[in-house]
Amino acid sequence: MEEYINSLKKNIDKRDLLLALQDFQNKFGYVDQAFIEQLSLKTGIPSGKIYSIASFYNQFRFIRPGKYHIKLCSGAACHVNAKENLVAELYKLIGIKDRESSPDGKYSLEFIPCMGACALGPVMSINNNYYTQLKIKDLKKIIHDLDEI
Amino acid sequence: MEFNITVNRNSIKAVKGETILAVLRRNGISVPTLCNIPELSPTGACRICVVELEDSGELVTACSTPVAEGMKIFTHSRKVIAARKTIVELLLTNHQDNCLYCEKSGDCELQDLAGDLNIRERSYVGFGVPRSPKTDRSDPGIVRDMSKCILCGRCVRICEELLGVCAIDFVNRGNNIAVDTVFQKGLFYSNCIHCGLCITACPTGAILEKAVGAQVCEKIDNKDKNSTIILAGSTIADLALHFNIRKFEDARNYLVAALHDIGFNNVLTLGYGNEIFITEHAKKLAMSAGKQNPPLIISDCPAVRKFIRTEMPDMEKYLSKIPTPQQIMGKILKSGESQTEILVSASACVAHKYEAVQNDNSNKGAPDVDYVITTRELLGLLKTHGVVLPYKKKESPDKPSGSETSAGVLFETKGGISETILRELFYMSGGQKYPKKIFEVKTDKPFIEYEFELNGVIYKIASLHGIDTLRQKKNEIINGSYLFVEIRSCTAGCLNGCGHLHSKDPEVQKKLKKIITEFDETNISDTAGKNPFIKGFYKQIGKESLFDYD
Repeated sequence: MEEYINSLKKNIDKRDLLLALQDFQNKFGYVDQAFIEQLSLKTGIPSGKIYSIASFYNQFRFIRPGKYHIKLCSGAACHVNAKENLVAELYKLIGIKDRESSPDGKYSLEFIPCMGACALGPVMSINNNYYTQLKIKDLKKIIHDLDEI
Repeated sequence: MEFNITVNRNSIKAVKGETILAVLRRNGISVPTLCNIPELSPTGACRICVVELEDSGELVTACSTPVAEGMKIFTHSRKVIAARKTIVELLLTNHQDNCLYCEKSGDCELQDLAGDLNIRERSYVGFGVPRSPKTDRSDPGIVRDMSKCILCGRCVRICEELLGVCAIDFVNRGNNIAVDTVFQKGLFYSNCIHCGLCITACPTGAILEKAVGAQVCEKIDNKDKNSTIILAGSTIADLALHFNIRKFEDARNYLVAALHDIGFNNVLTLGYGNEIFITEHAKKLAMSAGKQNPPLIISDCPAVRKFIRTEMPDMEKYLSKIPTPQQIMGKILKSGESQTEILVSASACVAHKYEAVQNDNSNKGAPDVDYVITTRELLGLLKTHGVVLPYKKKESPDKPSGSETSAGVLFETKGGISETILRELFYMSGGQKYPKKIFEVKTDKPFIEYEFELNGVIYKIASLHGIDTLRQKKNEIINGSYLFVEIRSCTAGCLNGCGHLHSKDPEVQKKLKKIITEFDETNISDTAGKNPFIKGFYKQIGKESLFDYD
């Protein structure tokens, strides 16, 4: 990561701010504070402002993702399909909440607006494997299997 | 282009491009505002300033709508009042009800509005979800309690537009929006310069200074320990104005007597520290006179010092390394003959709270200045002890400070650093008659230059106030061949520091300035060198200067 930050251009156009953030996140899975500080020096935008802009968008994450990055849909259809029960169960199983990573770095959790499969809700994805019409029983098994690895 | 608009059936003049609010204010028509700061860009965030357009019946925000020819406005129609009331009720939805325990109670704009609009019961019950997980207490001077935040964005705009620092900004979106620092780690870990302007900007009690009054009381009750309090000139002037005492020295002497009675063993004035600061710089400048290029940057402002260190590292080498007056006092009082064990500094500045806990301002881990309280906290202390000025007796400040010269007080006003150092330079060079009130006529400007002749050489100095001006004038300062440049972050020097009493009076700074200038005019010892204690001090330490110049 240090290498990537050092290899940044000397001056970055203010208009390329979001592109730079996206590029960084695609490579490292999240936006790091060190990167925001560097970006601030190179664009001339204060770091507080960059964080404000980045936190406005759901697409940016600010925590290092775990080995298994769990995305849980919190769209309306998934919500009415008892998503909240799944959230409570997930908390019981891995002890983390929205936008948190477990201390051992194994899991991270993120609620996202919609995955576009509303008819199949509640929807969850773990590292781009999708689980649909998820029941608590299924969830327990999935996490249990991952715990074994 | 000038034209007429109709307000409440009266015709008034307006100029194209103005906002409705600007026209109303100029004509003395009051409309409540909350998110508006006159010198900054309007946002229309709180919508409390809505007015009704007669033709369409539409409600528009006065602060962000430009006037148009033939506009007909009602500022206090039934519809407008009802709308304003609902707006405040909605603002109160997620606001706590514990005004009784809030430090801002009595000075809170939201509380005032709720009172003015006669809101006597809670209309909407919110979820009671605090907007930020916890109160940010990371900073030694500033506390941010987001449960009291109404998201008006005044602190955000002050920090961004007036300072360009952006230590705090809106983070997240929609229901989760909050005012917070980068990565929500707290002010202390951000690029905040601790100037405290956000405290003055906040209409509610969401941003306040970290109060240490109770701890101070506890410490001074311990009679085994020798306690000292230092009073800054602007604090004394502020309290003089608050208690309606015309003369600066009267207010000071009443305060000294009262604070002795409260339990402080010694009561000193910061004027002494200011005088040493002035003398040190005057000596330094006299030694290098004419060779000072680029100029010496003189600032007693911890916010400016931090700003230059973090945002303009290339300027740091020009910055004077002599500590600020408060820390000079700390170093003197905590060493040598003085028996001070607990040192409290009362000033009009929150940045001093940050300064006092810095590593280089401590001796073997013990801070030189133990507690810094603002003028508001000092008034609180006086009130708790039932002190009202005029007090029943007067006493002079204790040694070593004694009665300060008027230079020690004038120092804290806008342009004061320049003027007092100049006086001392003239005084040291053989008692020439020195120029007085050099910046008096143009004190409204943030950047003032002054030329003077001393021993046949013409020098140029400058006085700069405000961080935004510093950004703009950076190159001018470096290349401008000034002898020295005075820089402070508050626009009226320490007279509008963020630790002053909350005042709704727009003339308050002028009145404070008047108290101090009157003191200066009536005082014969008007430069630091005329204070016998200063002479005695240098004789005692046996050195020409307290600090190494390089």
